[in-house]
Amino acid sequence: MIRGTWLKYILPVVVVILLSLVPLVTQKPYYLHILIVIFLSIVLTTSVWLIFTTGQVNNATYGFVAIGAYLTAVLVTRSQLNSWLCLPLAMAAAAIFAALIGIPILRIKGVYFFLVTFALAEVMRLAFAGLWPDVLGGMGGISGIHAPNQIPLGFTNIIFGSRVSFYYLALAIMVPSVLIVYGLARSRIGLIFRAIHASDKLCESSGINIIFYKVVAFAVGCSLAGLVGWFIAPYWRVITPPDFTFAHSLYVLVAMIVGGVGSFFGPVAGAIVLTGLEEYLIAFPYYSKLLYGLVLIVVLLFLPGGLVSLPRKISSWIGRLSSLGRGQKRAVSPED
Amino acid sequence: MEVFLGGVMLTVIYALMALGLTLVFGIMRIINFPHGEKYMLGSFVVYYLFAKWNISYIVSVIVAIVAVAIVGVIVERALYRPLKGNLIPTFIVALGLVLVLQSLGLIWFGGSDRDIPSYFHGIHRIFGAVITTERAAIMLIGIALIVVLVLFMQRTKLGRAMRCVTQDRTAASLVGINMERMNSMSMAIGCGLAAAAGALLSPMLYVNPYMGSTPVIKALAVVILGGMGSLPGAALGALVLGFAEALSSRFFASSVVAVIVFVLVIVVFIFRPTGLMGISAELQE
Repeated sequence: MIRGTWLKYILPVVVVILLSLVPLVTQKPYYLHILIVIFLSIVLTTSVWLIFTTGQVNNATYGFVAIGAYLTAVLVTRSQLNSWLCLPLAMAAAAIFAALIGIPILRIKGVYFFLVTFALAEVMRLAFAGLWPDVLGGMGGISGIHAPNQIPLGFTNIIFGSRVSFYYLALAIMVPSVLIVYGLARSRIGLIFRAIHASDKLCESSGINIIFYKVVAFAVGCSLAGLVGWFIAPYWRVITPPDFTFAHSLYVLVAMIVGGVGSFFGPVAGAIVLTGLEEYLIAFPYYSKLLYGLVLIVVLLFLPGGLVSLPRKISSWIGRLSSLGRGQKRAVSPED
Repeated sequence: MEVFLGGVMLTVIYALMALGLTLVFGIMRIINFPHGEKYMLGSFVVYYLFAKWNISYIVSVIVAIVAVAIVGVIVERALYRPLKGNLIPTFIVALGLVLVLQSLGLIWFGGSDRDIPSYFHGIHRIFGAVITTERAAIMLIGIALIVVLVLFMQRTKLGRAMRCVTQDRTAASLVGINMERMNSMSMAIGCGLAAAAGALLSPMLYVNPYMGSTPVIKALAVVILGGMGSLPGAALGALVLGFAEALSSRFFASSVVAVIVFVLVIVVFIFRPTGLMGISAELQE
């Protein structure tokens, strides 16, 4: 129906407009900060999801965030380079490194790939901690990273003095990233990604160069991670190796899985819910990990498909309840 | 010589952890992240029984192994079984369990390190190197446990059944092997081994709720290196990594050692994706 399509396009635009209006409602740094963190999580979870559509579970996300962050930090603190130039550099560096290391390791499949990226994340972090201490700052990292330079707009400059400007910057990063991932996933390339996930041998015999497509997915996903790194460097002002452990990468995967890997909205939902949960649980410092772990266990036991499968699950329950009411004998449901 | 003994010690400990992990993977095809927490629980039991209530050390260790094995079976029944081997939710549930166990440990035990008095005293001299009786005892007991495991897997019916399941699940169930019992048994043995490692090491190291995280990562590296699901592979991996760590600790700082270990694992992976002796990834699908 034409009406349905119209709604599908209008809704995201409405959401973006509403999000842009948030700073008019509140300027409290805390709320803006949470939203910024949510936006960044969304970028990261969707980028990991993109790589996942080719069947590869990537746990090196924060290694690439580190690449973007460190590159930006070094260039900004040591040279007079405009931070905006660092943006494409950060993304390119992440993408190139991803492509180079992807070519050998993307041949590895399944659990083993996860384990390799697990190790890779740690190697990258340890490299940033141990190599070139005078440039990279060793374990102490790099500090004093200043905010992005002003953007002269003719009538006024955009200054990055307050949290509000970072908020808009984060929003400006999230929207295109999400569009890129969504667009790619729905395109012919995305179809090839999913075909590779479903049966790579069949793809190969159809003449598709799987390594090429896997590397593309990996490079795009990791360049988005590098983009997040570019934002993080001035936002946090100080970056240190413990900020980029495998645990951070793991949480990105957790958010993606809890949200649901079946659709694009899964990682988005997961990022929002889990980041919100983490913030909420700060109120219970002693029990926070316990509750978080319990949430993970309970959600996945009841919703193996993730949060996005909730509507489906509810409607199947309703279906089951109503047929019980009608006194019908039901065959075993596929959900059992 | 001391490096050699250090290597043997590390090998034995890694082997105890890794064998359990690879067994669970071989039979249930899941990576049992809470393995490290079983190690921690083993230490906790010994702490409470031996250090607090003065129950004999030997008894404490045995109780630790049995108790944690039972916990493992409960976990398997409650959490892993309902998911029927669906890898992705199982992964998250395992992670959740790690957090829950660590938090429970924290709440119950407190965040600070505790000490357990040593049971074995004295030192020996072997070929000019000094070794504490404690270390020697740990090595010997560890090796004994490993030997028992090997005998179990090779000689008993149950052991052979487990090896069969590791090779081909479908064929195993066709032959009439009870898969559910296999799952529970493998969890029991795996967790028992981890608890043994924890219990044995507890007098030597400090006990705290987070002590399981490092051993499980190292065990994971060993299992990757040796090949997941392969017991000889795990032993071999433990040997390689144990000695690699002992040797590089001699010459390099510990941070470099960690990098070396991980790089080694990645390199092996690129050339032999299933590890040195592992089950082919294709067999899993």
